[in-house]
Amino acid sequence: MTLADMKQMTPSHPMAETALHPLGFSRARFILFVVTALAVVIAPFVLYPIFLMKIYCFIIFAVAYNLLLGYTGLMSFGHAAFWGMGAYLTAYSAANWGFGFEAALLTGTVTGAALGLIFGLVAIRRTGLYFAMITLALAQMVYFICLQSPFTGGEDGVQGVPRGSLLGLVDLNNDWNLYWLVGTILLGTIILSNRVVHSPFGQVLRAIRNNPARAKSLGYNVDRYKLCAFVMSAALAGFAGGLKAIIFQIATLTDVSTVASTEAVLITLVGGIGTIFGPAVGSIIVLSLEHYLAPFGPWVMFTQGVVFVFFVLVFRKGLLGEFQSYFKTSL
Amino acid sequence: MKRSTKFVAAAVAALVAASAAQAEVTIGYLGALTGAQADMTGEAALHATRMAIADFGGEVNGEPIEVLVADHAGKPDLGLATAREWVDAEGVNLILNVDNSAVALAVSDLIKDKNVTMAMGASSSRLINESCGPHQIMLLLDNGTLARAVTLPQLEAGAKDWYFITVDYALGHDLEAQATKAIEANGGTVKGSVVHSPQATDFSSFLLQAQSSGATNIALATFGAWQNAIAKQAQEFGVQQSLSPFYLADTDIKSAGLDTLQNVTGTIQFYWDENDATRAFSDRFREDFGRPPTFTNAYHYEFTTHYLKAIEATGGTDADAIQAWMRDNPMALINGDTATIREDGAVVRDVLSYRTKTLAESTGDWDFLEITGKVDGESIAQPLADSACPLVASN
Repeated sequence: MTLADMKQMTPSHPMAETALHPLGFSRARFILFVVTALAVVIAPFVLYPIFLMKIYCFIIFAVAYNLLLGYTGLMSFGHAAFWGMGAYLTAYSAANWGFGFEAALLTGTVTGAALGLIFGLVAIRRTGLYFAMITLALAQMVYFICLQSPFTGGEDGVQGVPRGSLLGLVDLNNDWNLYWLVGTILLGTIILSNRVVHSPFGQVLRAIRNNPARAKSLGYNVDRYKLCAFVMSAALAGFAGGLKAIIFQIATLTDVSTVASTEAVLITLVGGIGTIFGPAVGSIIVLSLEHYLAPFGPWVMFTQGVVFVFFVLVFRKGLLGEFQSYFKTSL
Repeated sequence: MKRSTKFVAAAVAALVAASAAQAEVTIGYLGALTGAQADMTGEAALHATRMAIADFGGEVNGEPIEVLVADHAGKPDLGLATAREWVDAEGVNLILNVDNSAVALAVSDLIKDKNVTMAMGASSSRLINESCGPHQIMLLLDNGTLARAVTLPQLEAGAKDWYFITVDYALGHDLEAQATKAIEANGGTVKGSVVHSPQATDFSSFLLQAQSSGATNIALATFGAWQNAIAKQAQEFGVQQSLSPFYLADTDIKSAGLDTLQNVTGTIQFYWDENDATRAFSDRFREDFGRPPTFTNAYHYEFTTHYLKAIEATGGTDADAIQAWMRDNPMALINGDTATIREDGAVVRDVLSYRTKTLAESTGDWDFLEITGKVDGESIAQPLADSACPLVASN
């Protein structure tokens, strides 16, 4: 056996391998991405498109949350504030200032980012439980402001939000047009999140998650990186909230309440913390439970409880988390 | 591969089955099945709706009648999403109950240009004014009508001075404003008012203020658990003024206990023990449900029957035709009266004024009210001339 043969037999460098696959995915992830894309194309012919769009919004929301919890190691209990305020500002600017689809959505995203910056500056120096509590407290303040300010419409919410059109060309009042747009946005978000996680920036974030002291000793400004991740996550959450407000043509107190924060945590936990496709799997499970159990009224909560206990006991790392450790791959 | 073909086949079969099962008439019951209102309306009004369908023969024009049920949980986003799915995917003809103003306002926007009727138990006066719609009907008295219904008989009886305890919600503030208008227009005065937060549990200072204000009546622009707590504490303090609740159902009295709510005066749309006809209906209702129907249960029966008659008469499910028929023909009420539906969607009906019995007067567990009179529906309804509803001919 010559040296050249041996060289051929050695597996290529892992970084080189990732670069070989399209869109920056690893092989396993690329397969999952293709499956997701196919599902997005086929699903509306079988299931109710608006319900699917709701799932997609929550996937984007959970991707934003996972970026923080899964890849930076920060547990926030206040993401409802970004999601909800993103929804309110998108809805309000579309309904009352006559903003078009893109401008309204941008308003929601910027609102999420700005709020994220404020939250981040206050909370980022703390970790663990203290960080979670500070974000929860700030989110409760935002909830109270929303409850009392006239612009949110109180219990009624901001209603009758016009959907507008995409670039003035595609009428989004047509559910199908809106569906294809939201589906594309979803796939784009998944590609984006994979890119961010595997960028040098994402690697620093994971280093901080695994060992903040060591990251600091290597010369990284840990707080600045955390803040940056927090603002990105908040902006994406605001964007997702805005998208939901456009789809359902309403923004309400539910979006800023702790329920929305819990939803993000649950979806991420059920799907698998720190996996690219975990949020998608989690959203499908959590939202389907809510949707298909709705006719049973009070039994929804009971069944949900049982299911979550089951997940915590049997799938500690979430569905995809267990799956990937079983097959020794990264999803 | 084989499994996936099987799956597709199953999905297609399910779709075919679903479309075949789609009945000609589908009623979507969108109500609060959990939370504070669920006891009064929730499952009970659903039962009344099903009773009306069964009494009608279970089908109309030879087609079965399907009922879909969902909980809006008081959340407009959830209610709107459910209603949208029903309209888009289930071909629902009537959205019934909708006992929350925020939900009703959201659904009202949705169905404006759709072939769907909404009959709602919401209270906001906006729903028969700015937000009225060609296919929407207000089963409950709106805040303005309710405020007049409660205050006018009292004012006539000489109770001129009022004090308000109001819950800090849009509902509470609206009720207080409407009632104040009615009181002042009819020679009464409002001696003062106090707002309680939704978290309040201790009302003693409010009651003492009310007591020292010199008012004859304490109007409770609040409901549910707060109202029960206020009534209980009023009794403990020996408050002499009479309490005037706006929302008091048999189920509230049952849960608070008649001892805390004796000698309270108010008005109600239906009482099970009014006459032989209501007693006969209530006996049938009670046999299956275990308690007599509340006023919201009754109007679900009355309206569902009226709606099915309209479908039978018009021979189809065209919302415009049904609406026209329902407005042109009087709606039969359980107690033998009739009601009319106006172009703004308000149902004009006579309401009963009552006094709650004392413990000594009450004979059984649901024997709570003494009916003291009837208030003419026209006298309390918002005059059409004042309506901001664009559908009203004079506008």
